[in-house]
Order: sequence, then C-alpha cells, then structure tokens
Amino acid sequence: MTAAHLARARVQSLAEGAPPSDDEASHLLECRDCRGAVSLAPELDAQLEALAMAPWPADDAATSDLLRRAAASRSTRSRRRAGAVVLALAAAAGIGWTALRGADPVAVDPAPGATVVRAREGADDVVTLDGAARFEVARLPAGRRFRVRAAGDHLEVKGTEFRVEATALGFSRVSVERGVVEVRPACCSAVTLRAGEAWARPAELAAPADPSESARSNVAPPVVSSAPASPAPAPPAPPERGATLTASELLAQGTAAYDAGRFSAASELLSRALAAEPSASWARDARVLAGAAQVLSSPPQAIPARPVSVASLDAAARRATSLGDGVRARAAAIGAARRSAGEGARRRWCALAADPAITPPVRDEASRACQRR
Amino acid sequence: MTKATSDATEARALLGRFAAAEPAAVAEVYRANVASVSRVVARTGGGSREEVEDLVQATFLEALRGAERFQGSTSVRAWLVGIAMNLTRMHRRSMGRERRRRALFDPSPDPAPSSEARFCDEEARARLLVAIDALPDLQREALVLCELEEMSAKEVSALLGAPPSTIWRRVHDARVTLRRLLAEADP
Repeated sequence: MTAAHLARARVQSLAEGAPPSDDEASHLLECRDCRGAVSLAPELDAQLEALAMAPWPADDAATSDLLRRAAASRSTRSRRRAGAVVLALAAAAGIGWTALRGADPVAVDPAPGATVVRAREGADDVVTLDGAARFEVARLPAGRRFRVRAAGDHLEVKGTEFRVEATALGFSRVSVERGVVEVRPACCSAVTLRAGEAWARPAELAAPADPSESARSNVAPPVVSSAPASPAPAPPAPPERGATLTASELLAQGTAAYDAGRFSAASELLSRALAAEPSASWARDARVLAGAAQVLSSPPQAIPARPVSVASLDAAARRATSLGDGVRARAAAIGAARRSAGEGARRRWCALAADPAITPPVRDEASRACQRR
Repeated sequence: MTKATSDATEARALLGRFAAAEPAAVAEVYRANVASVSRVVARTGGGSREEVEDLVQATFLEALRGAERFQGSTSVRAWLVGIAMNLTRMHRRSMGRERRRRALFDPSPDPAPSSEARFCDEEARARLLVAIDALPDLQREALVLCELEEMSAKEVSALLGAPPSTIWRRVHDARVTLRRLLAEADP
C-alpha cells in the first residue's frame, strides 16, 4: 500500500472528508505527497517539512569525550570491543603478555583483575587502565603516539617497558624498566622518568575515592622511595578529598571511572564536576552519565519503587477479580488495606477478614484491624 | 533471516548491552536517539529548555532501568519515544495543574508556550511551533510523530494505542487546526 500513490479519485474523496480505511490511513501517514494532496495546504506542508528537516540544537551540542569516543564509527566498534574483551579475559586469567593487536608494537601484561581497554587506536593510541599492568612498547614509527590513561592522568611513551598502577583517582605508581616515559598526572606537575626511576602519587592525594572499590582493586599501596619527583610531606590534616581538582579534571576522572565500571565513584565525581560548572558545554551529557552511574551503582532493590496509591491498588484488585485472578486480587486488596487509614482501612480489613481464602497470618491481622475502632 | 528479524535481534542485543551498563552501548543508544527524543519532548509540550533536558535525561534513565523489558517488537527509537511521551504527558498534566493553581492568584497568561520557539530565528517557524504547542494533546502527539519525526504508521499506532485511521484523523484535524491558528496569528 505504501509503494504506489493513492488514485486521484480517491484522494479527491478523502479531501472532501471521506474516512480512509486503515490501509489508506497507513499510506497517508507515511506518504507526504498523498497527505499534501488530501490536505490541500501546500504552504503548511512546506513549513512542516522544513521543521522536520531543521537540525535540533542538540545535534550540534558539544559532547563529552566519553560519549564522542564511545560512539565512534560503527565500523571499528566491533574490532575495538573484541580487543577489549580479549584484554579483559587475559587480565582475569593472568595469562601474561598480549599484543594489543596482531603485530602491534605494544604488548601488555595485566595483573589479575586489572582491566585494560583500548579507548582509541590509530596514530594516537590510548588505553585506559584500572588496576596494575606492565606495558612493553617497541620503538614506535614516526608520528605514532601511545598513551595510558587513568582518570585524569596521562602517560606517554615512545619506546620502553614500564609498569603502571591505577585507581579511580588516577595513577598511583609508575615505574620504568627501560626507555623514557613522560607522566602527566592531573594532580601534580609532569615528570619524565628514565630507566630505573619511578613516580608515586603523593600520600595526601592517594586516598581512594571509595573504600569498597579500593578493596576490590588489586593495586599495591604506592611506594614513594624511588620517586624522582619528591612528594610533598604529609600535612597534619589532609585536605578535603579532591578539593584541588578542577571541573574538567573531575569530569575526566568521572568518565574514566564510568569507563572502568566503577559507577559509584563515577556518579560522585561527575556530580562534583557538574556542581562546579553546571552550565559547561559538557554538562548535559555529564548529567546523563551521572544519572546512569547512580542507577547502575544501586543494587536493584535500592531503586525506589514508584509510590502506589490506594486507588490504584483498589483498581488492580477489581481488575484481577474480573479476570478471575484471586491471588492477585487478594494481594492488591491487602496492599490497599495496609496503605489506607480510618474508616476506609477498617472497611477493607473487614472484607478481608470475611474472605475464606485469606490465610491465617493475614486473617488475624485483618480481624484485629476490623475490630479496632 | 529477514531484515526486520535481523533488526529486531540487533536492537535486542544492543539493549542487552545497554541494560548491562556497557559504556559504549549506553553512549551509542544515547547518541543515536537524543536528538529525536529531545524533539519529541519539546514539541509535545515538555515546557522550558531546562524542563525538556530534565525529561530527556529521565527518559534515558527510565530506559536504563527498564531495558530488560524491551521485547524488540519495535525499534529502539520508538521505544525511547514511547517512554519520553509518557513522561512528557505526566509532566504536562502536573504543569497544567500547577498553571491552574497559579492562575487563581495570577491572572496573567503563561508567557512561555514552547522551548524551541525561543531558540528559533525564523519568525514563521516560531509561529508554527507556538501553534503546534497550542494543539489539543492527541492532535499534537499524532502530528509530531507522523509529520515531524516521520515515524511509520505501525510505530505511531503502537505508541498511541489507536488504529491508523484514527491517527490519520488526528493528523488531519491537527493540520486543519494549525491552518486556522496560523491564519489568526498572521491576519
């Protein structure tokens, strides 16, 4: 029906007010030409068509890095996902070195429980890390970069072997076995590490975002003995956690935590980013992510149920009775009685007490409530 | 496997990953549908820009909570639009009650008919949006889904719970009403 236009005579009669059949109506709803022929309002047709074609402001809105990256071209998605799965499995099984890709110059040896996800590939390779992993990078071709990211921290390498430990807050420790690595932590100034050197997050910035998540990670506590960047001495009273982080850093850490599946940390970090910059260009996406993280971090039973009114329970009881579903009818009636008060409650309980199908515990409750004045 | 079956299977698989909170799937569903959901919410009466954004976010969160219930009998977009329309209807009803309550104390008319109208440069389009906002609810919903979102008759019928002939009547009546409203606005 949708392929060919309606006959001219039929269009004429529809334009004069004849009711269409369902098939004709389906066609009219999907065929702008026939719709226009029936409605005889070309100017309105043109305006509606222009409105339908108009870009929505959201189409052009700036989006957060996470959304842009994760929604990258479909053609590479499956390949990238397959790589992530392979790495996650390798991490879980502790099977040792894995090339990130075929003859890739980058190989990774994740510690058990660690997750390494390739966030971007190509000339500018980025992997996100949760847990501890050892990387081996052969000499990279000119123009190619390889970076490791954890929360807002970045690390870039040209050709070396190194080990990184990361938590929700970013890198906790980086040690270089050979080559040169530049570490750019969000918390502190950048530092260049050479073979045999290590960097560790300063103690006052190393507090885990979420104690339960810290307990789940396999990250060893940071060791600062060989760190070339001298950490600040621990102050008598540690500053408020994350007090020095900017909104962008909180956003980066929040999205990285979301990436890593640590939803409670993501929710908290993103909420703090939004509180710091509620009208930022990324605020809309961050609100969705924060909300999603909040939902996902709650156990199913913790999601508040919609409040159920007495009237809707009464209606449900009537509906179930009409369908002959006595069990559901009684359950709804009991719910209505428990939620109501005063004379309405007493009337409902008395009806339940008189119902022979009500079992003893509820029958006793109903009898007591019925006799109560 | 037919294309429709294949699409439904793919949609269910995507929603499965979405329900499992896979970040890429959440982002994919969000990115692919946020503009459509935003348009539907704004044009079926979501209110101010902030209210529209809140409703759009609520739509995706509801979808996340209920993704396991997705049966694949319709497209992901139609499913999200259905959630968005339910939330918008509830919001519109509560806003209607609030407006009536306010009207008891403040006789001045509500000055904000549509969120999108405020961001629209072209006067004619702004007038059209205001007129769409003034349509009766059933007519506006049918018009937005069929004319502006160009959804299939089957999807709109399922979303609005009415046969195609009824939907067509609503669209037809909406167009008649729109022509009258636009003529009144531009004598």
